[in-house]
Amino acid sequence: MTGVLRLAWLTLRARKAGFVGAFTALALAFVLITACGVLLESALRSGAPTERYAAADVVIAGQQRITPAERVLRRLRALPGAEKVTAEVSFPAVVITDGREIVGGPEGGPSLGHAWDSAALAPYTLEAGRPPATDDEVVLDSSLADRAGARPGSRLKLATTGPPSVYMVVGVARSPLVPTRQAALFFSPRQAVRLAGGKQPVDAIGVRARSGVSAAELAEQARQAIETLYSADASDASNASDQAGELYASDVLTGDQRGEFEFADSPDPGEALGSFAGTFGAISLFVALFVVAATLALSVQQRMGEIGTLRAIAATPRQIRRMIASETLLVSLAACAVGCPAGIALAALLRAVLADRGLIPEYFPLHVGPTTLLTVVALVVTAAQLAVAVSARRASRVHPTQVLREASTPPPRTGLIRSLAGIVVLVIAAVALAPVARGRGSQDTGAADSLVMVLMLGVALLGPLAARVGSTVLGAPIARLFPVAGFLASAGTRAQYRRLAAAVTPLVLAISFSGTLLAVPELKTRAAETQNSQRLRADHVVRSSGIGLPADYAAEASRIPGVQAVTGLMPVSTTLTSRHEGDTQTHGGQGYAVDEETLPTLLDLDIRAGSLARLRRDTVALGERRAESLGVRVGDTVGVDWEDGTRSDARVVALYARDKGFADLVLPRELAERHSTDPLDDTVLLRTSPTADDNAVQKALQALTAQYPMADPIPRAAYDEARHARQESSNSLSLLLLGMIAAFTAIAVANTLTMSTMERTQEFAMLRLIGATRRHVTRIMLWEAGITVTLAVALGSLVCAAVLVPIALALTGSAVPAVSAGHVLAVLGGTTAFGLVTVLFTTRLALRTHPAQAIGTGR
Amino acid sequence: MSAQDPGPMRGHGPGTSAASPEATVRLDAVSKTYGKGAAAVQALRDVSMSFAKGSFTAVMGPSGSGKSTFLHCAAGLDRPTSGHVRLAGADIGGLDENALTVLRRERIGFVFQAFNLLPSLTVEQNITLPLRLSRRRTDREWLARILKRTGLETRVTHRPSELSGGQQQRVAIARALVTRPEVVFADEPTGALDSTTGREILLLLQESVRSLQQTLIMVTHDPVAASYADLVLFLADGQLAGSLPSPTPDTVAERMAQLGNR
Repeated sequence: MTGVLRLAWLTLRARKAGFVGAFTALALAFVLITACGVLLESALRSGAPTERYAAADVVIAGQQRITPAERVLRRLRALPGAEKVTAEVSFPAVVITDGREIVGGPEGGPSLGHAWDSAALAPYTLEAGRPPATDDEVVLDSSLADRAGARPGSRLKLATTGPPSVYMVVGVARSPLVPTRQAALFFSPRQAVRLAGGKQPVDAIGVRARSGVSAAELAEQARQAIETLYSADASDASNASDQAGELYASDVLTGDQRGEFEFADSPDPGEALGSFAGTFGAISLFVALFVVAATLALSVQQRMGEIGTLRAIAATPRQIRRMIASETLLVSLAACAVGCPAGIALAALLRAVLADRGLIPEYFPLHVGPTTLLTVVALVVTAAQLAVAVSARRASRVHPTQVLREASTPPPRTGLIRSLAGIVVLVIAAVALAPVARGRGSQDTGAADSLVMVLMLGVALLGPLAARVGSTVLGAPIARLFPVAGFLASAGTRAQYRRLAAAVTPLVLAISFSGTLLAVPELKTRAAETQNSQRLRADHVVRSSGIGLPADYAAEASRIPGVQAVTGLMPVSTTLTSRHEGDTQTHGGQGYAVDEETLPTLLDLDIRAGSLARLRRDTVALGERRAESLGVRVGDTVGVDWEDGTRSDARVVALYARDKGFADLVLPRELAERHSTDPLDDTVLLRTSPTADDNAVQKALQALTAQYPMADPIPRAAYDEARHARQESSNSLSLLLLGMIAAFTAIAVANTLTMSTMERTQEFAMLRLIGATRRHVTRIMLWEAGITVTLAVALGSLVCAAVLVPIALALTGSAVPAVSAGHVLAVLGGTTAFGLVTVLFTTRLALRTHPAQAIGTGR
Repeated sequence: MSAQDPGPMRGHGPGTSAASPEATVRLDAVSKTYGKGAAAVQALRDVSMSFAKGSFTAVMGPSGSGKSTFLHCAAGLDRPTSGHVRLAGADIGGLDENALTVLRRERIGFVFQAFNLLPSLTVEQNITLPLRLSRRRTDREWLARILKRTGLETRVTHRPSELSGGQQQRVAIARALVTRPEVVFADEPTGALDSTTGREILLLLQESVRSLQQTLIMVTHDPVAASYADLVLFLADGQLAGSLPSPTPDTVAERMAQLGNR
């Protein structure tokens, strides 16, 4: 092995130029994949440590409130390992300053009210003042107090689940973790229960372990205790009513799980970053595999003569394979030394860019761990080995005497197995795309966009065949019309179709990825905007910021002169269950509670079955997709698990189609209010009468913000604009991704085209010796590049169409994807221009060598 | 033999030969220096030679004697540092790169050790490539004669990869002859061939020169190859080191041995 490795090293040293291409491609792969790896690790490590439950070894909590709270608490207190059991209640609460600013959680974190006795779970300790005693007293955490400019003795207006009212600050408490990621307001226990709603509201229970008992032991005890309670309850479920008495399996949380529950509702910065880095990483790895394979294949093909010599002097095919593998390994490691540090730098840069765009918080730390780096190195090195294995195998199999001939002309047949494999891959892609296309107007695009990778694989496998067919179809007329340069270019590409395929593949890759990465978000945005504007019939929209709008707001807004209809949209988080014929389906259901009287005036949900007129009392309307996953129709009954920990049945009275980006279910406000833990509207919709003065209504709405500073009323047009801007900024992430991929594929294109042009220096010299001018050679190469680019544009457009047409069908029902002409022109024109310019440039470079020297006249 | 075959000269006006009735290629005090300063290598020193129409001259010399530089300068592939080269009636010092290329295309043929055929073209397409580049029609009669002479009549649709080395060199020779050039330069044309095939190629070249009234200048280090020429010129250290008319392999080898021992 050392012999082969040494030979590989010597070859590398002697033929530096030949490996520059492979090195560049690999180094770039390292840069991109290291960057993604680092971002992904940082995203995964962003898992927040618990703040509020730091002093509780075990936390019992679930999606719904804990019921029956008293019995669960009794059982937990009886546990042998439990030292102290504390119940916690939470509800939204923020400070309204004198300047009518909402002061809530730091950096978009939660801002919650609790009862003072649950401060012990953290524990929050009093820095100043005393605990709240009466219903109008409050203790703030120190960070919130600072930001709100409050001290013990200040009087503050607070917004909670009801209308804003004034409290007296009696103390400031310090969180155990600084800086805090949430704001905490502590009320007297009685006031906390009142604001949280319900008889005995308990959102979480913290248990501290006795000394000598581990968190795991305590968690196990708690789990068993809850389980026995649950089975005892289930056994007499027959005589239990629907409303109460049922127990929902609350989770027993320890360690980081506590923090996950604690911040479950606040947007996790790591999540967006994680999915960005994951997608980016997968595409990069895929593109890298392609680019590296293409580059390495070309560099092996260029060295066929040398390999033939080695075979002739009795190197075994195995030794040849090992030599090529070792060379690739050495190049990979060299590329790693350059690429990995650059990748870490790129990750830092991306972090800064993402923070700048507000997609992650400023403080978000970057984690560079050895595990990530080793994984990246292993991935890329393995990918490079896989990529080179095919070419090495072909090279090593060639009979020594055949090699020289192999070097001048490729074998006449395109591999049958390769073509068959390509067809199989394309069929797989077609099978995956067909259901998307069939789901006309269903809004469901599934994983259609990720099928670009599968299609690309098929194109790469079928590349030589496509190049053969394409060069014949394109070459014949060109040769006839342009008998000098056109003829030679056509003959060249037809004979060297493998070289053509190698040049076409990265171009197709560039077109396919940039095409779909640009068009898919565009299609989705347009479809979402279309659906949203079709759905929304309101002409004024009031959004809430900082905290939801209390129910009184909608009532007051409806009294504004000229306002015809008003509804609040109150988010309700439920779990839906359908049972029929012993088959139980359970799905989460994010719903909106509405004013069922005015709803049809304000929202056009596109009712497909039933009627919203029957939306009364214990009924719901379901979005088509949720209804389908539950397998229910109009008239069926679904079980609803409510936020407050209760369960009840509701009859389905209507199915609506415009559910995308809206809600899984719509229900009467009166039904939801009974079960909601925080009955606040996140949006209020208004419709004015045709004769009303819109400006006057807007003015009245602005005036109302004095009383409700969390309200942000805007006219319909401005609302649509803001929504569009938000979509654009979320698309900017995919544009960033697109830029990176485009840069990578551009380098791959330049790499392949340069290598395949430079290897023809001798051919150019011969042409010039027999009387071809520089201009002749340049024209020949431009014609060849033209054939290459045309074929790439054709194949790339096919790949894009294969992905975009099904998506367009699913989103809009039309087979023609509404893609802006500018984008199409940018992708196709950019690729074409880039390909031609690269060939022109490298041909110039290759022509610089004096023909007499290039030809090696046998000195 | 040549007197009976005036055909090939028909294409060129009498002016071409009138300008230089004796010599189609003439080098006057040609020197060539590569590099500058201390690293400068003088590959040719003050070389003057002339090659008459219809002559077959071999240029020989040990490695490093300046053979290749001589060929490059004589064929207009490279410009001398000083001195003049007249090629087919033109002083190439006054020609730009494009004019030189046109001159090469129309007046000069090349045969190399490496056959330098385009693998993507058939035998016929390779042969007629120079005509195609200058957008001239192929004279089918002339092509048939060349194919017959080079023994390639049955191979016209083959590709170079389907031919033996000797056949590929025949294609290269046919390509060099198809434009009816006044001068053919051959650089070790038998270097990549076995001795039997090499002999056939040399006979073919010899016969072509005679029958087409061309000037053939061949650079070689092989005494057997050189013995097919009318005259052998010897180069050593970039200078002309003698000539040998009516050479045989033995006399050539003897002179070469002397040069090597100097």
